[in-house]
Amino acid sequence: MQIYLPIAEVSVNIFLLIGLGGLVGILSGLFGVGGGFLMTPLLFFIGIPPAVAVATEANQIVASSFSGALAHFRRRTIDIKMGWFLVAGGLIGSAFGVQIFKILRDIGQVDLLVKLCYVIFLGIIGSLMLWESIRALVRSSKKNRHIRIRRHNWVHRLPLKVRFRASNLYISCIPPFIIGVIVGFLAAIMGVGGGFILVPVMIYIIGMPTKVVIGTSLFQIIFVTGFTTLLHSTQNYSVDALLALILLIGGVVGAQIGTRLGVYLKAEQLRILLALLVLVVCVKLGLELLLMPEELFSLQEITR
Amino acid sequence: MIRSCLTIIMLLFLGAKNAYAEESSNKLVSDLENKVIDITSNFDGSELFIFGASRNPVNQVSDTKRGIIIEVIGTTKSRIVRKKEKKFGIWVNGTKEVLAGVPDFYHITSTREINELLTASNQQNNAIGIINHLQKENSHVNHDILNALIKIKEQKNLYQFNEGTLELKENMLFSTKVSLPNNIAEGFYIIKTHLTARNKVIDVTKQLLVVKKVGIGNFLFNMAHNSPFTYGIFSILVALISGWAASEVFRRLRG
Repeated sequence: MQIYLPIAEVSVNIFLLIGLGGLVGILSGLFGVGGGFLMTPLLFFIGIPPAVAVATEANQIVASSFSGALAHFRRRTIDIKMGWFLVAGGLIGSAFGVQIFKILRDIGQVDLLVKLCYVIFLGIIGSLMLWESIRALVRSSKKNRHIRIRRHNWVHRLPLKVRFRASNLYISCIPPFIIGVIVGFLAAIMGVGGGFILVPVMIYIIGMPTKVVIGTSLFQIIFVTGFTTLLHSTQNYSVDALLALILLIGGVVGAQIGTRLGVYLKAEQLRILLALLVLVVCVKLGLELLLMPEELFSLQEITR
Repeated sequence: MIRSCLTIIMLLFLGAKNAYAEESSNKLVSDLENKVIDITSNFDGSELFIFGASRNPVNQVSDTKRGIIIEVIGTTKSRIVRKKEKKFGIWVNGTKEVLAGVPDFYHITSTREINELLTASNQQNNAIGIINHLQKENSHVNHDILNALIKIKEQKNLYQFNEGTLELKENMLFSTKVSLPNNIAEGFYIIKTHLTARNKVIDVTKQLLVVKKVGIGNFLFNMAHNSPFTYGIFSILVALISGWAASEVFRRLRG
């Protein structure tokens, strides 16, 4: 059954969309990743214009992160104060990102920007993930090693210190703010939540306790992707609410299935497959940029 | 279909009745089965049935240049055509050209090849054929760019060329079905029917077809463009509500 997407202005099979949402949902439930960084390029591949894919993904992530954050809110595993500092940076980064997006859209280079960012980030994430999971496999055959996290580094020498009770930290508010800006920028130009950057930075650089990290990052992502959705709708008219809703239906169901599958499957070994999938998407996008395209000419409608 | 057949028969009678008024200004009549096409949320393309008759067949039966050309011309818009160039090892959009009056959709069908019915200059003067449409408003633009545009549109099935496939029954009646693909844009479509004889266009009729988005798709599209702020807030609210609903449903299921 075909469904006509009003903003993307294409007809797509609705079951394909639900299936994609479900597949990415399963992966995100299984591995605890957001899934935006996989869904957006998959949307390019099925013919959704990149500008619409990015803005719509931001909208979909509002739903998935809100759904996830509610559970953490009930368990009180969110550092709200830290969250607000991250949000403050995120809003600025997002506003900046949407402006760049709009300028590049007007000169016809937005597809290039989005695809280049994806090739770079998917390349980095995929390689790191592959490296980590291979190391984990090797390590699991040996004895469990204790990983020590350094709690005192250069971050603790920065000024403007603030007390974060929930995280039991007294640190400068500059690092959370800056990481917020970066993640907000990525949300605007890539349609990702940015958890894959937030979470490691919160653990290894800011030094937050692991139990509040996921909740706090979800808390920030709700506000930043929400703000990004609003900016993309007013600046670029590129949010497809119908597409977001369909992806979401597949996504939430998939995430629940994924979480349950995670109990039975060895996620550590499956992580290699996820890493390979990420690298395949990266290579496919990269080839689109490197190989001579079949069609050299492209058409753009002049936006109002 | 029954309705349109009846109309054709009526036209036949009309044609017979007026056979004496050979050189009257109306030598050609044509109509559409549907004058409105709705793009619904599950729109998967549509068919446009065009039919008509020419009134004075008798004295020109032997004229091989006598024929019908039907054009369906979608809403025209300005478009930017960009050409990709290799820079720093990757293919990026380079030179651009702004084209005015580009039809979203174009279909042409005729009883013979257009070149057999009209001279090139007459095609140009009457703006028949997509290249002549485009050239009329973009005389400065290189032909390669216009041809590239036509090729892209043809690949999307938005430009369709069916020259020489139209059948003229009894040298008088014609009808054709145009398949509108699922990616057509909304707007006003003009259907032009040309009657040609002796290398010239001797009569033209025009019909208007309205293609419009309806239902939820139309509602969302209008809101997104007319009140983008409200639309943005609406999109966020939909996301928040679905996120909350999902979390509640699965909390209950887990018990």
